[in-house]
Amino acid sequence: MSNPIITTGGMLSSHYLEVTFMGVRYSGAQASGTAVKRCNFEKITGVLLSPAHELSFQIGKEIFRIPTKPDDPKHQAAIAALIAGLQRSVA
Amino acid sequence: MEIFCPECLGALVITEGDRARCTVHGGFYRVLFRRITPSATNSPIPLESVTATTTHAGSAMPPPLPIIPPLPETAARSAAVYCARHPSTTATARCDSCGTLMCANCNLILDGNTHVCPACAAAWSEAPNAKRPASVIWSLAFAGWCTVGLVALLVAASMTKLDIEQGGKLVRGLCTFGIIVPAIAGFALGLNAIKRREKTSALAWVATLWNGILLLILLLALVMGFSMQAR
Repeated sequence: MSNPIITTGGMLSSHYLEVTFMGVRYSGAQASGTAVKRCNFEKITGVLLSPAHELSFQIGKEIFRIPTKPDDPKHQAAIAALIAGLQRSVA
Repeated sequence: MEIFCPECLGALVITEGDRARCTVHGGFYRVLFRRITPSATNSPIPLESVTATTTHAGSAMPPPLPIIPPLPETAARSAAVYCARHPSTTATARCDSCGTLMCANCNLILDGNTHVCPACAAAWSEAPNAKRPASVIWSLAFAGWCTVGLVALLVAASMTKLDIEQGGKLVRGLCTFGIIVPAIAGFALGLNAIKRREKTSALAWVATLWNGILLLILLLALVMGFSMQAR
C-alpha cells in the first residue's frame, strides 16, 4: 500500500507531502530555494487549512505550506491520513 | 504550543468551533489539528472536535474530508508576508532573536532549537566564546615560561660554556619538556583561541605569534645543533 501523497506544481514552484506511518516528508521548492523536512507526527504542533485550501502544518516555530485541491481524492486522503496520524500520536 | 498564522506568523485566536483568526491580518483558517500541551489546557478547542476525520481500519483510502466552505477573504489577507532578505519568498519562520521574518533558506537552527536569521547568527558567532579567554591566558603563560626558560638556558650556556653533549640527558630533557613542549602547547592553545569568522582579541594573536616565534627559534637551534653534531 503506497503512502498518501500530495503533489502540486506550477511554473515556479512545486510542493510534495507524503504521509507515512511515522510522520511526514515535505518538500517545497520555489524559484528562490527549497525547503525539505522530514519529521514524526509528535513534532507537528498544528495543522491549518486556509480558505484557499492551502494546508499548513507547524513544526516548532517553522511553518510549511502546500496547496491542496478539495476535489482531488488523493489530496483529501493525504490530509485525512495526516490528521489520523496526529491523533494517533496524541493518544 | 502556540500556533502561528501560516501567512504572517502572527498569533491565532479561536473564534468559533474549529475556526481560527489571525490577529495580525485577520485571515481565517480551519484548525484541523492542534497539539494540546499542559500549558495550553485552557484551549477552547477540545481535541475531539478539532477534526472529524478518522481512518477506517483496513481501508486503503480514508474517507475524504468534507469540502470546507470558503471563508470571507479580508483585504489584508492578500498581503502575504515575505522574507526580509528575499522579498520574493514567503516567510516560514520568525527569528527568535530579533523577530525578523525569514524564509526556509534564511532560517538557521542553532543548538537548543533556536531559530535565528543570518544577521543574528553572525552576531552570535562574534560573541566571544567563554573558553577562549582561558586558552589565551594559558597560551601567554606558556609563552612567558618558554621565554624565561630559553633565556636562562642561553645565559647558562654562554656563561658556563655548557656543552649539550656533556650535559647529557638532563639538559636535553630540560630543553624538550621545559621549553619545547610548553611552546608547542602554547602555540596550539593560541591557535585554538583564533577562530575563523569569529572576533579574535589582540592578546590571542600576541600569544600565538609569541609561541610561534619561540618554536621557530627552538627549531633553528635544534637544526644548528644537529648540524654541528654531524661535523
